Amino acid sequence: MQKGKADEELNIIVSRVLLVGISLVISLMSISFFLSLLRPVSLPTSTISLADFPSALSQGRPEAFLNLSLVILLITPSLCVTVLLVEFVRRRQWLFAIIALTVLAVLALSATLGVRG
Amino acid sequence: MQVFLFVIVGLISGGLGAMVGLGGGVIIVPALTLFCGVPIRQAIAASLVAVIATSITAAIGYVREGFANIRLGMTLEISTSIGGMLGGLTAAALNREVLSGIFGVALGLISGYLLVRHRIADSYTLSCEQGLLGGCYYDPSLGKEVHYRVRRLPVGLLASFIAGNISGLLGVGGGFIKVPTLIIAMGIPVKAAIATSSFMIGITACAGAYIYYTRGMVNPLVAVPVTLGVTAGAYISSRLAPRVKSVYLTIILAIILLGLSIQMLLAAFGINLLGQ
Repeated sequence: MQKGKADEELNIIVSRVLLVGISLVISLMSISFFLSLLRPVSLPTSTISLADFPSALSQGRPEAFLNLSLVILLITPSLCVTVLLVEFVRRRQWLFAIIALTVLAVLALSATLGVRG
Repeated sequence: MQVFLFVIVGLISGGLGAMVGLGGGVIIVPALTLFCGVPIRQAIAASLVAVIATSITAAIGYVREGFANIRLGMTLEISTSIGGMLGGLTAAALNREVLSGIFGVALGLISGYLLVRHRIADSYTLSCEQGLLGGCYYDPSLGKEVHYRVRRLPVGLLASFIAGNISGLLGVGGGFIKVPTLIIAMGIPVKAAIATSSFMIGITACAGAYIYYTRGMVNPLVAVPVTLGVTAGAYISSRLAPRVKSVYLTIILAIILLGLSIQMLLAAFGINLLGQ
């Protein structure tokens, strides 16, 4: 495959990942934000722990969907880097695959240090 | 209700920011802390979340059209994300007054950048040989393909680290450091520099945002309305931008940022002229 054509394909894949992520986030945020305003309960002031997520979602609590939208927003860029890693590996562009892996490792370290702090 | 005030803060920040080519973060943090009484760490966390949303929204078009140089962006992202992570950790350790002071200094610098940035012009050299990190894109305004090489990568990596650090520390995108560095030091065409910086900002902001989120500093009550407002503001701004003289708007915003800079510096010493 020619480099120009291959790059076009890569650009389309990355832009689609970003588009799906942000569309999901904005839809979820908007719906849960307005549902929260309609209910007598006030908006949450802290995030729900990941362990409590499934039960909060199954109860249909708006704050669970608000938090879910935040989590999806925060993982979308990481997902984009993951997709790039897979694409670089598939194209045998090992240097860029290592670079993408390093960036992912830094992001994972950041989350880990945050939890431990 | 306060949530609607947060939506309005987001709308104005996103609208003004997009119109002059800055992320909304530089306006969100002082507006939330000085006018809405939000604690500075929560304001920074909300700003980082909003910055991620605006960066993703902008990057979709830039990446699809081929303006963003993904390989260069990822390479620089190694140092930028490390900077963002360290910035987030530092912000969690600093007290409110010190953060206000640092933000005040940064706002003053951004204000200065806004006033001089029109002098930053393309310095790239057309090259058929792109090298490992160079790129090419079709420029509709020139009616031709632009090919460029990347120079001085170590300078770019250092500047990216600083930009990432400021992003994690203050909740801003850091484009005001990345874009001039990409253009002046690394010889990237203006369009590619803006697009590549936009692509990078979301990933960089994530490195800082993970620290804030996992430490419970992201308040959905603030972050969600601000993010919705910023996204709507940036969208409205993209529609209005062709009808607005951005030169005058840039000067007005530079003056506002200078005023906010002075107030943030005063806040570092416990003085608030705005009464919050």
